[in-house]
Amino acid sequence: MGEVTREFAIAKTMEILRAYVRKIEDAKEYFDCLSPEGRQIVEDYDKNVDGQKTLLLKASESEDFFLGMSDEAILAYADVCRKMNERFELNVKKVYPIERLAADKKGIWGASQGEFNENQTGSEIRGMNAVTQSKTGTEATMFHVGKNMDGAEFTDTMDDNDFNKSGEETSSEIIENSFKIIRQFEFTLNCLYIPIEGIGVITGSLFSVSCIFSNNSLKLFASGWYIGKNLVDSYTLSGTATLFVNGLKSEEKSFVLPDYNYLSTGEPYQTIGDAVFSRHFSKSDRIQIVLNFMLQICVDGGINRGFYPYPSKRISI
Amino acid sequence: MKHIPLIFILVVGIISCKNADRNLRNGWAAFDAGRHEEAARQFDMAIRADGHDWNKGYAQKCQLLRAQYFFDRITKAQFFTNVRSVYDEWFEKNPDDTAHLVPYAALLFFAGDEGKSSSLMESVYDCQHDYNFENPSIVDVHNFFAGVATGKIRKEDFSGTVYEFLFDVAEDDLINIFVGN
Repeated sequence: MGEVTREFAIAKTMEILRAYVRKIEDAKEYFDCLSPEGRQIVEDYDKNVDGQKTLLLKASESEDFFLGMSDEAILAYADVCRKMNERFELNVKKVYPIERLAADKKGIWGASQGEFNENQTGSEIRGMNAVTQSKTGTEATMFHVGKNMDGAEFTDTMDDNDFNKSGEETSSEIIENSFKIIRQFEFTLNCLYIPIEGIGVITGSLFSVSCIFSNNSLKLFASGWYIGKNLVDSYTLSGTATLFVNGLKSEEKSFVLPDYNYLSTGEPYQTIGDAVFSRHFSKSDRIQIVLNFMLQICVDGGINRGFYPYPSKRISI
Repeated sequence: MKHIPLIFILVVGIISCKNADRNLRNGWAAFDAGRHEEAARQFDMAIRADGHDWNKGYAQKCQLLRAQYFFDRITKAQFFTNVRSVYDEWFEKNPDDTAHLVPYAALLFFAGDEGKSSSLMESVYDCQHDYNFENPSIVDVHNFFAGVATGKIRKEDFSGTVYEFLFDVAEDDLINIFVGN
């Protein structure tokens, strides 16, 4: 949506990469509390899989990394980093979509400081807010590398609300009325009996469900691992989440596979999907979710399938 | 010349088998695309292509119905009725089969036909059955359940074994274990 100088785009990209590296380094300290996907990210970084650690450090520490790079490549890096900033909640401020690079003159965001120009039109800022608000389940997946996995965290929502039409921060009243609770649940569920190739198998699945609960939405991200995976050709986990507010059933949502795929490889876990409830919540609401998961196994090269529901799991947020 | 009919039968058999497999794959592809009616139609075609192999259409139809029931797309009554029609078709074409009698009997019990269910369980149960206590087969579990259902197996005789769970299973779990499997 905007034009910035090449220098600013690189500087912002490096800033986000540094924040990402810091987040991963911090995550090592609470590794056991991370989701399977989060652990995978940290492990891959630590083991320098595909040279990612080397590249990340090089790109985040030296502008030389970007020397000779085309404008298109810089824009691509900036775009990816902007998404990382949103989804991993890196909290790097003043990051917006970049449409093109200016040669050496000031862009609408300012060339030297990279600050947002307050004369920016309202429509573009509203567009930014729309982007922020349209983050559905993506945010729920990204805090796998976040802190406070096993407890409640109250934060303001400055990231989502810190720009109004005039480009200023929102009022403190809105901030005080906003809250965010992040929680992670891991549990095992067992099917009593699954007949596979003439043998009755009693094997369960490990599930991991992440929740981001704020004043205007409840976002769930679920993944699972069928322990008997080696007995079958393939398997799929699916499920639904039913929301109960203060004891009353409110809504049921199916977990839907997200359109991003970079967290789907948290082997041996398999992404089940996102479920997003959009409505107003208050901190005093008693929120419960009933999770119903289903295992689908494929045998005989996919000709035979079986469907087995797991017992319901109720979680309180 | 006398081999021609046999060759013809074999060729027809191979073609039927291939057709059935193709129908099954098409059926699951339709299921994945959310076209359940088309999936059922493909599984029906697989049954027509073979008819004597439970895994060529019958099992798939039952699993499709299980998926629909578990995902709340059909009611429990519809589920029972439709699965029963699959079993009925199977036993009509394969009257000597015993491998699917226990799931069928369980279904009949839940569907309210307790008399027929009980007589089927009685006919299946083998009191001399040699159970595998390490990796119970489906035959083991079926026979054991038939014994439990007919009151011919005592819980205390199997306490601490892998079969113990079958004494205290809720109706929904029994449906999950047997109906359509």
